[in-house]
Amino acid sequence: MSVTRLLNIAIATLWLLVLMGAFILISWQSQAAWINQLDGWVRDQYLLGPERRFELILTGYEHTDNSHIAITQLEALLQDIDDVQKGDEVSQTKRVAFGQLVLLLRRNGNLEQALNWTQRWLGFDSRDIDALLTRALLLMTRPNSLPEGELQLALLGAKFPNSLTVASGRATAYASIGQLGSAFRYYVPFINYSANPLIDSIGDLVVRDWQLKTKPTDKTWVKNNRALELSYHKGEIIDELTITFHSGMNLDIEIQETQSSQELPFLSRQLLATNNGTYLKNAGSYASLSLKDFVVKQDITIRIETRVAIPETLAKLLQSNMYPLVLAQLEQDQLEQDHFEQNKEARLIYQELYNARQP
Amino acid sequence: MPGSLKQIRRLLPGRSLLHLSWIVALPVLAIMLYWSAGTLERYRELALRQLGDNRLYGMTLMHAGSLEFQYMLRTAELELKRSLDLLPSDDFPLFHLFVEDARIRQLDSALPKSGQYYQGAQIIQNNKLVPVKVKYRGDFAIHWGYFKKSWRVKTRKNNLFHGIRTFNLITPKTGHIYSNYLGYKLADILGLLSPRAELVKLNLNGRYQGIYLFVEQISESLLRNANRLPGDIFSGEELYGKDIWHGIDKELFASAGFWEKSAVNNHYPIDHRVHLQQLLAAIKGTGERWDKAEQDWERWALIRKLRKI
Repeated sequence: MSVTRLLNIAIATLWLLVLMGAFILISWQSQAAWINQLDGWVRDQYLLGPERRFELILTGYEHTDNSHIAITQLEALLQDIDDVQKGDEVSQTKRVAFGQLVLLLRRNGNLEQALNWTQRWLGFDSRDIDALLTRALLLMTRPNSLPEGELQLALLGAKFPNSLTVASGRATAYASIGQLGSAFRYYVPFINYSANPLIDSIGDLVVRDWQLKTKPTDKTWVKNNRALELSYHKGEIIDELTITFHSGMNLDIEIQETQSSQELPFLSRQLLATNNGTYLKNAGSYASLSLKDFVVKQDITIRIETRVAIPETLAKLLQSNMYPLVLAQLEQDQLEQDHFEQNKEARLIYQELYNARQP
Repeated sequence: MPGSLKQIRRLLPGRSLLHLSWIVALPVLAIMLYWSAGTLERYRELALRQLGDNRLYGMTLMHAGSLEFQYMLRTAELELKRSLDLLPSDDFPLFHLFVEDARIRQLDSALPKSGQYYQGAQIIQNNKLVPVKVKYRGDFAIHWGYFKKSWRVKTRKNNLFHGIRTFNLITPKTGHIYSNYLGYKLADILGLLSPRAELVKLNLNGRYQGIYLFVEQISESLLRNANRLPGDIFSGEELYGKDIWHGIDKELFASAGFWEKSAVNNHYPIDHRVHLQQLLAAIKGTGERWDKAEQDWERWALIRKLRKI
């Protein structure tokens, strides 16, 4: 092939590339729909792909109960989204995938592997309370690293002394190694009415970490006696009313309707309906309530109250089969440990609480 | 006959024009490739990854392409004006920052995390080049994902910049460039302890970057420069961006754990937060709505200051 021919081919290729570029630029100006379609497709793949994959892994695990396959798949998923950083839109999927993987490894007894993954989880976000609590729990349950786990829990407790989420994590860690009395003591400040105004006790009304989405968007909510209230007039159409609860605590959620007998068909997500008409939100979940395409027949005020619910570990400690064990440990601690009065108080509160929960 | 046709084609001017057309085609292609690469990078960073930043909602591929194009035009315009000495004159001080390309690539390598690690750089101070360390500043993509970056500059201990160890060069988030600056100035006029702030022009490696807000980073220097005794300064901003705590209810005025110390009173351990806890308890203990209590607190601070005036 002659040099001239090569030169011609090179110049033709150059112009072809220029024409392709010009075509893209013209499309940018005149074919907005194509560009937007492409945009939508890329977003769908990038943003929803990992979430769909995670859900498929979970569904597969629920059907087969084969944790080994689920672990392999979760590890592969986390490998594929390794470059996702804290704050990225996909980071929530990465966060829950870490949590699920560590949970499965722990259930399978692979404590070392679980600990390694918590290290990577904390590398992704060193300020993830779940990761910190899980790592401390694993350290406490692994032989020879109990003091390290206790130290990490103590540091976290010192940073957030008024957080029920942290206290509950500490209690769960101690309960998992059989120290039920110690576990209960972490709940005491949150059961007994505390003089500390920074503490939200179990049963208290709380208004926090709510996100409200309304359509039409002109609707504003008001806080009234520590609850959310929204008013609608007769004839209004609620296209959408969604309340998302981001709180890290367990919550009891109650919907009240005033001035009307019209039933509100709220749909719930990640909420457990209880016998007394309230919803229970577990710690760590992103639960929501939504009402769609609803015609208001009478003037109505929707009032939504959330109360701090009893954490799972505390509920277990108050079960009748646990009662003698917890009580015995509290009595033992009272005799052996330094803070006699505090331990005595914990024992009395435990007995009182247990009795109150008996049918 | 075919031989004569060949001779005729050789004589045509188009042939030599075609051979010379690469002179036009190559720059056009280079511009297109530059635009495409910039658009894809911007799209990846701003439209796909950082949707958590509310300011970026609505950023589409179409927007990213248009934004890149506008940026290229604006850069060309500024370069042209600069070379023709047509840039408007003003009184803003000019700040020179020099960062090697390799260091910038390091900062940009895996944003936003990569931008949080200090890199070596230089500034001009008293007509001399002075070594400093720089990194990107800010939680949101608006500070590091666009063309103008916000910078944090840290000087050497023995070579402070007008008595300041660490300062920020912040890119304006909106067209209202004055709003933050006026806040600092107002605080200064009221005699409140506030970081030094100025509007400056920034040259990065000799290229004009536009107007920036120069703000002193709150630290012990702030107290020293204001002739105050060393003490604790708490800053509560661990609710957003890279500093956010996940899995815990984020109420700044309910937990001392969300506050970090910007300056430390070394009479107490670094984790000592009793005073802050007492203050937070006092605020919440009023029994009023928190926003009301905070307002009262601010009003109280203002009245105290006005009395002094």
